[in-house]
Amino acid sequence: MQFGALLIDGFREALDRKIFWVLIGIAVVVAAAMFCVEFRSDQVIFLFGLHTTPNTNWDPATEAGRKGIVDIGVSVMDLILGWVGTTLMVIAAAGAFPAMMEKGAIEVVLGKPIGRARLFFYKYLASMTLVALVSVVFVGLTFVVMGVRWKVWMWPYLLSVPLSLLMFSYIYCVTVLVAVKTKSALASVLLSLVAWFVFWIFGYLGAQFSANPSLERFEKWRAPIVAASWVPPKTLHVTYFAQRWCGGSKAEDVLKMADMPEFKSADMGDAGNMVRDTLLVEAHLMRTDPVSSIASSLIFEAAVLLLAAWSFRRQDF
Amino acid sequence: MTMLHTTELTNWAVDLIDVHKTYRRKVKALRGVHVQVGRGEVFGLLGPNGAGKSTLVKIMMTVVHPDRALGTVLGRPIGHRGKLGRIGYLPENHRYPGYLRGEQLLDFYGALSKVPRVQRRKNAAYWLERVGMKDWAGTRIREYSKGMMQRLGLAQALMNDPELLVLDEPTDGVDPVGRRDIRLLLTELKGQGKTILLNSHLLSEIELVCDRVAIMKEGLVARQGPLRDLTERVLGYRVRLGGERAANAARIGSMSEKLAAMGARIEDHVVQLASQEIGRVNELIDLLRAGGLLIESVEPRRLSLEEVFVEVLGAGSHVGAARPT
Repeated sequence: MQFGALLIDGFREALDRKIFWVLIGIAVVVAAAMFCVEFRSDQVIFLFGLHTTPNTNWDPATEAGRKGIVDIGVSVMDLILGWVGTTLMVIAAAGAFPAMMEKGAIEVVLGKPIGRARLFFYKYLASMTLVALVSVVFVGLTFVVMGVRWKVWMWPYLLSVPLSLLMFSYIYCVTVLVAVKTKSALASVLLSLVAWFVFWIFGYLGAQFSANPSLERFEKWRAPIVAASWVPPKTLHVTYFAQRWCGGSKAEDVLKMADMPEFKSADMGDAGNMVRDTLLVEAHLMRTDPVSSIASSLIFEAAVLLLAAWSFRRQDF
Repeated sequence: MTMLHTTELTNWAVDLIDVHKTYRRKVKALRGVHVQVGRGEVFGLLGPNGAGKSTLVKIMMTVVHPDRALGTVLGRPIGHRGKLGRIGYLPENHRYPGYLRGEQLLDFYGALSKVPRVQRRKNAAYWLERVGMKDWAGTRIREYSKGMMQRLGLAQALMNDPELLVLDEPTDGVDPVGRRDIRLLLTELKGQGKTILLNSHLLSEIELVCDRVAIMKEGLVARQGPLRDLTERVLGYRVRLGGERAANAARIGSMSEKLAAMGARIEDHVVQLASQEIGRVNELIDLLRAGGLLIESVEPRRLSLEEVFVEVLGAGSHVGAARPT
């Protein structure tokens, strides 16, 4: 009953916020934009015939063309899982805790027969549920448009919902901790973005030192950096999991090339070697064990949330 | 933090013993407070700003952690979650989410108090009507005036049909008619056997509704007891004269020196005597009667709650908090 009340309250609060409607609006605009594009064997039609271009890459009748269309879907997925979607979702949910902890509001809630830890986790889950709802709307709309309009029913695309929620939760644990400490939505958004950048740096360095052959000369740094990269949430891994699981042509090409022994050892000049190294790192990220990546990230997340809950329990209001 | 508990059942609805709280190791908000509120009584908590009243209430409601606290609330240790479901709480300067409508707010807080859905609907309708907010039930709270927020806050505190009602400045921002309505409601609730703990700056209000009061100063209870006991002390007597004013004025004029010698003064047909001795009153009556004056009534002048309050606070005290260490 208490969780239901907090969930409904969270939903009402979200409906009252402009950012919630901005997110829904973005979902509708993206879906509408996708709907305005039609792929035919010989041409791509924009805006229902207003503009056409010859179609060489995205013929829905061929396997290669379909994979090309999947790549477009993956790009949309990147939008959701990447900084645009996740940042907007963090901004949308950042106000939940500061609003609850506002002077004059928190006293009433704490005066009810609900434990502080329970209140904290119910509020957290309510925020997650709302973000899941937004994600379902976005992914659902774009999925249907791809299926109906582009004739590609890309089922792995639906993984965007849990993956976006996972990505969001990696960042949101920091948002909640800062919100509990500062009671400020702005501070919690800003510090979450800083934390996200730090997570990304850790992940980036970990991937580079794991798979980039040009960094082999820094062997003594490899083990500690790779080990350290496994501590914070692996935000970098999430988008690569999505690419791999969706099975678009880009992921397929990257993995195929990375498996070629001659590609690894070839000297292609400075620029060529840089591209090669990037591909090898991307292939490494796509092949990272998702279970250990997600599990270790969730352990970090749980530790941050427990710290936030502990701080919330101890505070005087 | 030391939380000492006693599960002993008492007749007190609230029995707070030796409550201590220091903020940031500097400000001693409470320095060993003892407060007892009997079941079914209306209890007033008084004190200047910073005396520790709100901190005490917040400790009862688990909003603030005490450094040390012994005692019970509704027979259970302070901070007992289950018992919070039997308490209604209206905090000072409460702020409710502006996006909610009046009826939604009551439903939300009712659910947090674990009131079943059907009962919540009934209670919400009843209390909205009772606090005069029925017509505003469907309006968003951000449209409400301060007085309306207070009324709604009171309804919120009553949603769970509490045994104990804790009200922190319930009439803050409420107009005189609203204050009277709230006073009548409190009297009605007292009649239903509910215990009410009232924290208010308005001494006149406390005087009208409370059975017992505690006056706090610098984190301690400086005085506590039944209102009539605190205001029992006689400061002097008022002797009201009967008969015609003009004739009385002439007679009083002839005995003015004697009256002054007794310490009596005349104010609009009433002789005021600043002595607590009954013998002096009788001497005054004899003097007045001998001078041909008629006595209509003689009544003792007792302390008002305001006078008790000022006396407890001491001259020149404006801040009730203990000095920071």
